[in-house]
Amino acid sequence: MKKALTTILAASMLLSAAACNSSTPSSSSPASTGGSSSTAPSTSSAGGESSAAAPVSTDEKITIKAFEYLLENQQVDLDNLWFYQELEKKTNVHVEWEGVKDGDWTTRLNLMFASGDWPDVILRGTVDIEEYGVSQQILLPLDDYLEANMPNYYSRLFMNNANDSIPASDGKSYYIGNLTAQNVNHDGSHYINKTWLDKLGLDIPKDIDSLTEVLRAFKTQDPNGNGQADEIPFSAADLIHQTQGVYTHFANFGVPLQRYVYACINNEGKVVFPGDMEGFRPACEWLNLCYSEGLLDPEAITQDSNVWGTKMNANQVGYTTYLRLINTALQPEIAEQFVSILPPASQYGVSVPRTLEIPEFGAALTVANKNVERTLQWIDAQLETETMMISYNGPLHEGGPIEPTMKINDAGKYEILYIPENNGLYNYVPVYHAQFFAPGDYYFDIYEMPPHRVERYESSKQYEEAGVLEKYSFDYLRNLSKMSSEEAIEVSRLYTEIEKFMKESIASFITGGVTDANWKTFQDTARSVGVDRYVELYQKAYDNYLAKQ
Amino acid sequence: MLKKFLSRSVSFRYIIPYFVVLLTVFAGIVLYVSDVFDKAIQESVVEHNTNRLGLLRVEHEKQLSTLLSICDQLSLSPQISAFKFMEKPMEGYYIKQQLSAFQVANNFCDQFYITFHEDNYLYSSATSISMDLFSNLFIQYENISSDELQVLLCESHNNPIILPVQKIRNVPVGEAPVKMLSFVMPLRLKGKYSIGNILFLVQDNTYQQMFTDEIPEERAMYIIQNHQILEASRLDVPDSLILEEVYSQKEAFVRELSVEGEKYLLFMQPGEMLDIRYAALIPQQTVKQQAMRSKMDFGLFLLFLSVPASLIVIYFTRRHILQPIREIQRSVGAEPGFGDGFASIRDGIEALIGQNMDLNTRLHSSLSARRAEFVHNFVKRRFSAREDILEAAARLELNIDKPCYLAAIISAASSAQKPGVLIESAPCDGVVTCCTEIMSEERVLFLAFCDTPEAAVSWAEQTMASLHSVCRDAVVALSNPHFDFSEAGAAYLEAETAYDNRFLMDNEYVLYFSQVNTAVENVGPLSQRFLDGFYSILNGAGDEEKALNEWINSLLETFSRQKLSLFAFRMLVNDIVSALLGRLSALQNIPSDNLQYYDIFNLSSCRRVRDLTDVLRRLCSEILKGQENLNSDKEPDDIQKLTTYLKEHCTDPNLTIGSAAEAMGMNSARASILYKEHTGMHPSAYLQSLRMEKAKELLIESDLPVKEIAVKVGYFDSSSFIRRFRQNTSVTPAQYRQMARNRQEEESKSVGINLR
Repeated sequence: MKKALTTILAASMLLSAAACNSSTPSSSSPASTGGSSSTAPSTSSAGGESSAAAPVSTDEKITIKAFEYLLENQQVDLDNLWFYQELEKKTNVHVEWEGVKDGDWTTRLNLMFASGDWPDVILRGTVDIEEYGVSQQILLPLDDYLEANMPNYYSRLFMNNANDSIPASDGKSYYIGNLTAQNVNHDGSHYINKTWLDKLGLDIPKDIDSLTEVLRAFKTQDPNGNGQADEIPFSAADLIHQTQGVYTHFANFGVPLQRYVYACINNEGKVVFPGDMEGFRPACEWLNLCYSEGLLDPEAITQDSNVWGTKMNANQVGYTTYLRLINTALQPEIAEQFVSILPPASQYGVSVPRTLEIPEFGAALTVANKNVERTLQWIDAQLETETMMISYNGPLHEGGPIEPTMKINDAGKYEILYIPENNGLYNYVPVYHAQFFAPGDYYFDIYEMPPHRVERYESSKQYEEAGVLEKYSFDYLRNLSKMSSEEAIEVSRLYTEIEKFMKESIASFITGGVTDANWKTFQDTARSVGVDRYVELYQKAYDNYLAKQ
Repeated sequence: MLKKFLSRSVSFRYIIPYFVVLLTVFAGIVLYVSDVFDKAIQESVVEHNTNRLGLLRVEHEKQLSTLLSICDQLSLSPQISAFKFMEKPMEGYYIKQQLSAFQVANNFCDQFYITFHEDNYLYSSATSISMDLFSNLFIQYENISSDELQVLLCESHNNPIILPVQKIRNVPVGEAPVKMLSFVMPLRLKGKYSIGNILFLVQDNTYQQMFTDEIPEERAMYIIQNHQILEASRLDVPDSLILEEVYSQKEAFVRELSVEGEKYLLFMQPGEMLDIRYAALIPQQTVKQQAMRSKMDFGLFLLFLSVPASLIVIYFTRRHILQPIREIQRSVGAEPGFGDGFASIRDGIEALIGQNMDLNTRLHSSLSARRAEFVHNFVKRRFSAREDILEAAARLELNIDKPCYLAAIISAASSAQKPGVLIESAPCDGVVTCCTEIMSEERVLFLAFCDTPEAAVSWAEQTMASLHSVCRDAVVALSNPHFDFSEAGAAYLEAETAYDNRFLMDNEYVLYFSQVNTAVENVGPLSQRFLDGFYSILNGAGDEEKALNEWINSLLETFSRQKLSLFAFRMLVNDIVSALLGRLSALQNIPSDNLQYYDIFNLSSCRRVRDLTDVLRRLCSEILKGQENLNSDKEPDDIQKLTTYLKEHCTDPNLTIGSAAEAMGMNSARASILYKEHTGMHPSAYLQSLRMEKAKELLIESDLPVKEIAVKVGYFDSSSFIRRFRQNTSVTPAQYRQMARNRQEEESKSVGINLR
């Protein structure tokens, strides 16, 4: 009786074990394995990368625990992802995954650090490097390991100044960057409705005055030809938005206003508050002029991008700023009407906020890691050009889990063939969750950019050549200058106050106009909400940054 | 086949019937439950579904009240007052921030917009939008035109208006329309004056989640207002029929509904808010399934109960029945696993009983054999001390620690049973007996240990009586009582003698040795005389073999002349043979086959003189051979010469060992030591014995006075001769001569052995 029961149990266990084995996806054909581990295509060497990765010692199988950030709305089964299974075969590193969704990330991350039960490696997401690296010393400084163990990463690290933002305030690098550069240097470009211009026989406005005239013409001469005075000559959305917000138009007056940091570096290299800049009041006055004449969309300070888009697509708008034209919310026939122009200049000059292509957080090791070198080699293996491209875009060769999504074109660059529907790529490769490190120069060498990226790149080139970008990027303040924890908290508190004040002031100036009285109030209030302290803190951090260069 | 299987082992015998019983009981309970509780289950199912509908109602009204409370809060908020956007754009900027707090607070509606009369703008937490843009380009209703929508949003209403679920396309968000339910609720300043409306858009998905059960079931649910179905999850039943039924009654009800042959149960509950009614339609099939599930649940519960119960039963069966049975099987040596456990136990026990009886028998016989051996050893006096004897007897479960004992020879030739068995089966108080059969004779030697001789006698009488009752020719012969265990040989011979006298005595009665006529008084001197002669022959020179033959012949002659009784004869034989064996043993290690000459049991069968002579001849030749070996191998010529010299000159009174050694050219002291080494006696002692033998000869055969004889045998002083003689023979020479003369007369007088 007992024996029989045991036999049945044993048999059922065997069966289930067999079932488990058969349910694991059988390893893909050697072609794909070979593909991902083979040397990168010829162009990769042109990118200055040594495709011969350091020999990853695979003699002994190790297991590492990874704490991985996951997008909120994306189902990912890390344990059974084709890409990581292939990677395990290649590196002999087994990973125990703990995937954490975006919504829980900060809470779970802090909890994990507090618990003392640290994983070997943290991947993607955001981590407070100053707190957990510099202060608590839980993250491992990686400087001494990079050159020897991460040849792929190290070969690209100093391209396009990619490394500049990575060292923490103590000068040590606590994380591996994640960078998908596109050689883009600003967010919002200025666009004008060329069809309308042509219809009305107007030229592309080069300065503020001619722009104002063009807008007036748009307002009154029914350029969309529907017989109604429904034209909105000049529209914007969401006030502070970095691509189509009202803020972008301060650039025309030499004020590189953006929403990330209410400070910028002037041409003399000093940190200043944008509200104190010479062009700020004229900008507000011009915007109020446009508002009062009905040139500026009355809803510019209240509407969101959906309403803005609806108006754009209704062919009601003549002049605006936006990210790009191709592959956006704009309908193609509308997008066709617009052309990119340089910001029409005022007498105060032009200064479009300059963005730097700064690496995000890619990976960090904790001091709990007993296999530092093997872990770094495992990450670097993912950064080998072909592996990296596969991890982001899907298989390159036949024999993978799906038809190849990429090919190497005649120019020797990786080119996307198709994109699986419904984010199907996430079933096979990590895509957004991947380790990716491609500074602009490198990326353009190996990757055949799709048109919408080319468009932004071209626009960036145009702006750079025309010299309309601010001299020193606000990213120096936002990302490169490091503050102590106390200062960072103080700055964060000041930012909240200043943002509220700036938004209300600007909205109020636009709709109500600028008088000497309310301008004085503006200046006084700016002092009282701590603008000077704010600037001082950034100046100090920036000086420190410069001193280290 | 089944029977074979069932009889495999006890466990199957017990466990299978148990399961059969359990299953039967289980099935019985299930049948009973399904019968008795059928109605209760039906009721509980109805209650379950009513609760489910109530749950929907409560949940929905909770969400509605959330929306209403948003309306109230906005209405009462001091920051909110009607304005025109074109006049006060900053109000639009601020109202967005106000609304974002409400948007975060509720997860029911997907989006909501607030609009004021005569403003033509709508505001949400994210944006502002003009009424025209909103109704024409932003939102497209499936069933309502943009104009109708504008009217709906701009007019003031007394009560909230709910637009039934329909496809609504939110143009900027995507191509695909989404099913949504719309609430238009009036915004009242201070709860009184209508200043605008709020539009809530609630996704169909949110409702479908409310309709979903934990366990998916076939069920339709409806939310109905003003004869319109606002939201529903439907079955294949026309809406009109449902509406008709729902509005047939104001109060809640449950009723059966038949649609195209299919039977349904319709549940209706009126809501408390906005005159909304809630209805659920459930197919009878589902009701039956639910009832079935309830029963199954109960059945599973029972089954779960029965599992531990059966495990416990199995455990106790194993522990208290199977295990003991197996233990018993193992201990009785039955083969486990085959056939019925009890049968094998029975077989095992029977085998055990058989073995036990066999063992008993063997033990018994072995005890009697060992006792017989003990009797042999006792009689042969193989034990050295009394303690050893007692100990050996104790090992045989005999307590022979009694002051007196006697030997008995018993025979019962015509008895079917052996006398030993007969007698031992009838024990007597105070008497401990043990016996051995005497080989080749149908006799049994008994030893009876007792406190007093009388007890032994009465035992013998009793034994005689009981033997006679069995057979007529039984004989019981008794020795004299003895008190010393070293006299065991004598006791045996006494008993033998008494037995041998059975032909002379009446064997109707117990034969007593004390009653046998014994002429043993002169056995001692007789045997001494023969032995002295024997020694002198051995020590003398010349043809010893011839001398021995003559000695034996003279012994035979003496026997035939003296006519000794059988007992005297045997005693004599006993003395002589034991002395000869002693002699032999001095010469060499007695080989075990020589011991047979002195086997008391052999001697007891010795009846004729010739039997004795054979023994004596063999013994003498052995002794001679041993002595020759000794002489030839070891005795140097000096010793031989000295012996011869002593023999030749023994009558010389001047002869001393020193003078003899000197004559032989030897050192006297050394000669003395050598002589002792080779002959076993000092030369002086030898010389003395030679002189004594000579003296005895002369005393008997001559009439010479003692003085002369003393001189003749080498003594100057007759008194020292007499002293030596007395030392040697314990009598004076004169007495010796007198005794010898008397004996010769006696011998010549007696005519033979007179046995009574």
